[in-house]
Amino acid sequence: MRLVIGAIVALALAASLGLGATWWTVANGLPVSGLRIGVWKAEPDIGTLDADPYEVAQTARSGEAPISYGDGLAFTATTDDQGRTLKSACDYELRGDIPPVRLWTLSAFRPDGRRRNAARPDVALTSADAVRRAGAPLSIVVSPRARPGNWLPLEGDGRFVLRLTLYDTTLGTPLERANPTALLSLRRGACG
Amino acid sequence: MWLMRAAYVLALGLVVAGLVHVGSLLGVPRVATQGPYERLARLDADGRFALLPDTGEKADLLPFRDPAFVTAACRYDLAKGPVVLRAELPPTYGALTVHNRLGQPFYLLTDKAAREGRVEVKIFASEEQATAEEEAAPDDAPQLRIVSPTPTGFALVRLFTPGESAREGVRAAASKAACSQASASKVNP
Repeated sequence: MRLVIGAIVALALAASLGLGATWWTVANGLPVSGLRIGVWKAEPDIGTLDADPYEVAQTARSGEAPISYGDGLAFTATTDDQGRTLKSACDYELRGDIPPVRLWTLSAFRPDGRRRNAARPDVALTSADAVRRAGAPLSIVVSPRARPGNWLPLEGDGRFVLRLTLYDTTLGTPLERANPTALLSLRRGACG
Repeated sequence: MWLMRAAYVLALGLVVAGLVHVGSLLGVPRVATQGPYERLARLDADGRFALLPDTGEKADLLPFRDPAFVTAACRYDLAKGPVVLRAELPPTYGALTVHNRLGQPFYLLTDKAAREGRVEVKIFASEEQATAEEEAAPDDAPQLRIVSPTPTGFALVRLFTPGESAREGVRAAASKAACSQASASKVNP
């Protein structure tokens, strides 16, 4: 009798722990993998045939078609510099320098990757229309209200994530991964 | 005594949990119904490039799709023979990527590789086919030959839109992309 109970407990433990670990890692990615620069996180290997089983499963679950490694690198930020989740009611200031790239784009998504406004084409801020001032780092304001300078409009409510995609970059190479260049900082401003 | 027994049950549970984790993880892509390949089924993109709309529900078909880009997608099936992809890639930035069944990209051509603004590539199911074609290629056949790791997959044409006013023109360029079954092969194996 005790043997049966022991076996049931062991199997229940195995099923819940094993499936739970699968569910969590497929939804969130491995906590230690990828390339982290400040608040930004990217998975350079997801865009290659060398993607590990975690990354393959992540693609299958999210439905995202990953950007090829030679094409670019997509960084996602879900929190600000102090670790608070990004909320649509707040202003955020991104500041810093972007490493040499051919093109970059910045856009806001719902946490599951859907666009924030289905009625209109979504907006992105890109290197083609960003304003840069000589001798000063790049500064971008993400806000629901119009702002001078580089402004990424925020629509909708609730949480959001920022996606910074660098095209034609060397940031994912092993050398850069070991000692990555800094990216934009993400500071929360006024909320309300 | 019962402590020994509990430790034994715990150890057994952890080992089997590891096996369950690895097994279920490897099984996820096989049972997934919302992978990128499956999602594109709703776009009528089998054997032809279809533009992903910028508005409405279908604009969200591929999550985290860069809104600064116009995207066209085509699902290919190599069971009926090789597939030829042709696309116009304007010099503002354009890329043609070929993805396997599970979504991992295995081939990329950007506008830097384009000749007169165009790229074309032929996808084969096996190395043997590609080699046979190389020996007896007709003059007008694409010079780039690649082998797909999976018999099905999809290709994306992504063109950068430098400002909203350019969107219509870029969409027109993207809609010219072709994804067709190669015409009857002249190769005799």
